[in-house]
Amino acid sequence: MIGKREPHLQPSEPSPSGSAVDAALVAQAREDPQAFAMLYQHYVNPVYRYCVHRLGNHHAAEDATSEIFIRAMSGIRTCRDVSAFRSWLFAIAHDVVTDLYRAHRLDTSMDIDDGQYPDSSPSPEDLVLAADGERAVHALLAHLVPRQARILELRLAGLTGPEIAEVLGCSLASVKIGQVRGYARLRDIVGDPAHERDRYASR
Amino acid sequence: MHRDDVDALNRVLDELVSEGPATASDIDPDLLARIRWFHDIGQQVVPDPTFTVRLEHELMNTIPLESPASASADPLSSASSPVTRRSGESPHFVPRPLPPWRRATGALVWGSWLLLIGIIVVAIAGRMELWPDRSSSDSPVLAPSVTTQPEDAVDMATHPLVGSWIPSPMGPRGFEMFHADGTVTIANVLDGAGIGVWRPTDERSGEFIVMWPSRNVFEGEYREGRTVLRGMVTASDDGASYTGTYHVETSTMIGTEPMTYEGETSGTRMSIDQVATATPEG
Repeated sequence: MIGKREPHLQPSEPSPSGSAVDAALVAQAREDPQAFAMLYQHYVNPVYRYCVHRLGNHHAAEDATSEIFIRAMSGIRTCRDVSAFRSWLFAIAHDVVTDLYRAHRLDTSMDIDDGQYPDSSPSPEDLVLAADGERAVHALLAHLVPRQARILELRLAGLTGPEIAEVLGCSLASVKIGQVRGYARLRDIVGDPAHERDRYASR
Repeated sequence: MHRDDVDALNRVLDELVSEGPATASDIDPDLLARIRWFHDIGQQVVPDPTFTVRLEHELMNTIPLESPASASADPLSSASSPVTRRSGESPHFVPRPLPPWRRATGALVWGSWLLLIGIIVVAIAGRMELWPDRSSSDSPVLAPSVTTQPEDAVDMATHPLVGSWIPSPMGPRGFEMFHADGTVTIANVLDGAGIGVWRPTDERSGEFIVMWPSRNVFEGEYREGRTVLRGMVTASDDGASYTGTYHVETSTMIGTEPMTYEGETSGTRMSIDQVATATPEG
């Protein structure tokens, strides 16, 4: 039985060609909860990465990841198209993170007692240069139009164009246009990464 | 961008996420290099192994599968999430969902009890005349804002600082408003509109903080920051003026030293007569 194996012995990340494998695992997980462990191991990294890029910190991302997998496992029998598990999983992730993001924004109203006011975003290049991928990506994405940022976040999580369209509930053409504009905007913001690294090192 | 280019980029991106060759002669090499770089730094993010192992253990040992027929099992509906947890709460303490028939029966029993208790409470309250007579209210009641503490909002409604003020001409010309819900708005000719909050410190005084977004140019590039004004003011006995102190700090402008200054301030309450007779100052 899959659930008897030691977790994380060979974690591997999913690829689009793995949809057939996903379908088999989803079908099995519907009857045997332990089979969900394999799906979890395949997707925990990209889901967590997606959460970090959207939420910007590890603690919130861990909470979100927990919630996403709890929902996914509890509702695995409602996943109608077993071959589209990844889209289904990231649609859950999109909902969970959006809820958390809204809740977080409501919690950060101005307070006289709080000396640490939310800082304005540092310039993109400074964050890009920080050896901290999570902060850099989150900061860069914050400079995009929300729809473009959502598309690029899902790209970073490993989703294909059609999968992103399904998660976001839009057309593939819209995804294509959004990602073209998003990456073009990033190019404008970042400049030459190698040049920026040198400049940062000289400070 | 041409449609073919859009399709080519999409194809390259699909290859990139599937670890394919992700090369295309019709894509701008510069753009492709940056996309690869962006994805590289994006992939650096990995969860703490302790977290992933713990979560897997919790999933495998505590989460029941929902029936496909159960309406509450749709994980794509946040309102019908089968399990919701507060931050830091362990899934071990999540109650197992009850079967639908037990939930329906329980809801019926509890609903009946609540209805009965409600009727009794309303009847008792009616006999004891606990409900306020709304028709006798002369003044409108200000609803407390979600941005401030409700207990403060009650006191703020009658606090002498509430209202519109014309600050002394020592600073840039402008106007200030202390709102009864605990917010402050300041507008002046130099900085534009500032948004903030205040709270009473006693029956005549209050402290406040107001912020303005700002932008400067450093080494030929725009840098964003903010100006923060903190102050403590006290209204006069007749409520027509105030005096106080303030502290200003410009911060987070990258490449510039934070600038601070402080001083004393005063202001007079804005009135219709005063504004009507005011003449432009030269």
